[in-house]
Amino acid sequence: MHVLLIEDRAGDARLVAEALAECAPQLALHWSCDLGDGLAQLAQAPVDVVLLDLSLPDSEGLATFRAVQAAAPRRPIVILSGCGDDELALAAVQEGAQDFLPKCDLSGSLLSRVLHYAIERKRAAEQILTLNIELETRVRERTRDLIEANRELEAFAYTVAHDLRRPLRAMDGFSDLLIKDAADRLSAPQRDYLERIRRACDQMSRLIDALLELTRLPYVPLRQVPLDLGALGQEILDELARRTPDRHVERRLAENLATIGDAALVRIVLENLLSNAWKFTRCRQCARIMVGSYYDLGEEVFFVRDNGAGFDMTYADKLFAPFERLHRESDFEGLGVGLATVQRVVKRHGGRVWAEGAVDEGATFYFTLAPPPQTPTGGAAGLPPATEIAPHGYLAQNHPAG
Amino acid sequence: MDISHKTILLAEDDPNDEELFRQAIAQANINCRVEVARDGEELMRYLFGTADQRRVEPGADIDLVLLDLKMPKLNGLQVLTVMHNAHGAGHEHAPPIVVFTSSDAEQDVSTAYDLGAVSYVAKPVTHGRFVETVQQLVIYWLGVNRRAPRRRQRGASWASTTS
Repeated sequence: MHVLLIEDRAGDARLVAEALAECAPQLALHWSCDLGDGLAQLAQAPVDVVLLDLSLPDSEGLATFRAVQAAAPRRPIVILSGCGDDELALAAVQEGAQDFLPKCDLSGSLLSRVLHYAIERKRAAEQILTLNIELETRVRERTRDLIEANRELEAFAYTVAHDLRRPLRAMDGFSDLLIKDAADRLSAPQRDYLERIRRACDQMSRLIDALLELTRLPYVPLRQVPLDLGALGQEILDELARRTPDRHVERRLAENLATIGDAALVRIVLENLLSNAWKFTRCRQCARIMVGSYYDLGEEVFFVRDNGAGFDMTYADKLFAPFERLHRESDFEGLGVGLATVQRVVKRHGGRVWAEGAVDEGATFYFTLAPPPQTPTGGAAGLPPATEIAPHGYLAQNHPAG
Repeated sequence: MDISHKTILLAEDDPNDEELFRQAIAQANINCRVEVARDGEELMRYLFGTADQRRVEPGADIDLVLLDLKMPKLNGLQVLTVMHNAHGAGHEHAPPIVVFTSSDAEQDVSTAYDLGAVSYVAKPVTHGRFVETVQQLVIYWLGVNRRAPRRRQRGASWASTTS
């Protein structure tokens, strides 16, 4: 192992040489008496560790350390400090020197140990550095792959939407032309068949639109503003009531549902949840829809609750998957993208959404619009992550809503 | 409204969409001529002529181009690029190009306008709305809208403007 000693005082150099010879004869000592010569040696000779005096004829203080470090960034450097110069030596350690040794307290065993430690520590640090660089490269590669995959997906959705609309237009168009041209020659069932084709076309067309919307969502930029979910909910419910004047639904909206979010996107969330609640309470004499919030471990959780058809918790994990439906089309119409859209919007805000319910006993959808607060240990507090379903009744029992 | 002397060039590779288009204008008794180009290259030949027989005024006999973006060979955006360059080369009187396509992607819309499309209309899927849209489009561009008066022009080929 090779030690390069950069030290202008011959007496100190001899002390070091003697201490090393006594305790660590396997270390080969090279001596430079100024910075210029030291740097030259570093460039030529094999050096495992540098023992450096900061006061040299051609350099002084931290500048000396920085010059050596710049010339040999991967070599461990140990400062040989003058007595009472600890502060300066410490400053060098802060900038990356491995250790410092006061000259007035120089023993062979200490010197040997410090030099060995310095070499090992530096090697370990170098290894971490290499691993970090590898890790960063890998992360960059993955990110690039991911962006590429996303772009392909987007292009795919775009093509699908484009190419699927075309035959659909033909089906709907020619069915309609046939209905009109052959109106007097068609029997009632024949006409009904054509109408069915047209309705199916319409449904598929809306499916394609929804699918496109779903793929676009993650790319829409978020514009977060203060929102009043109560007022927004009221507005949406009023519109639903206007469209179905024959329905009587008891509406309970909590006051002060203030939050922060993207106005257009949060409206999509409430529209989907409320129109679901509206739809699934159709079978009720006394339909009831509630919108409220509660705090759980410092996190505000909003919910939309209804006393409608509910759902079987066995299939709860399917609720938020696109194009999954838990009800028959003949009972409740729908595309199966509403809740998938809700989940995307909520995730976009860093929040989570989950649901609980029971068949014929209504459903409650919970959501947050911000990342969960961090606990002191660094983990996320409280509630289950998005799509994971809380045990039935758990939230309602522990946190009486309203 | 008599627009029997006007000609639409429909750039459309899908015979279904072509037939639906013809039916839509027939329903409204619109009696203009409809020429069809089945891909981007054919469209370019209509407008600029062939290699042996270049047109002095590209698209002089065409009053409106309805352009589908998704076509074989040269696609709609490529066609727009060529036409855009031709405008730069002195063919200011080339016919207006209205994009009439299935896509409503924002990127396509802005690119089409950047390349000089005068209008961008997404083809509705539902037949009723499709018919309505086609009729409004044709009546507006051939009946209502007035184009800029003709100026003196120079000849060029589309092949030379692509490079």
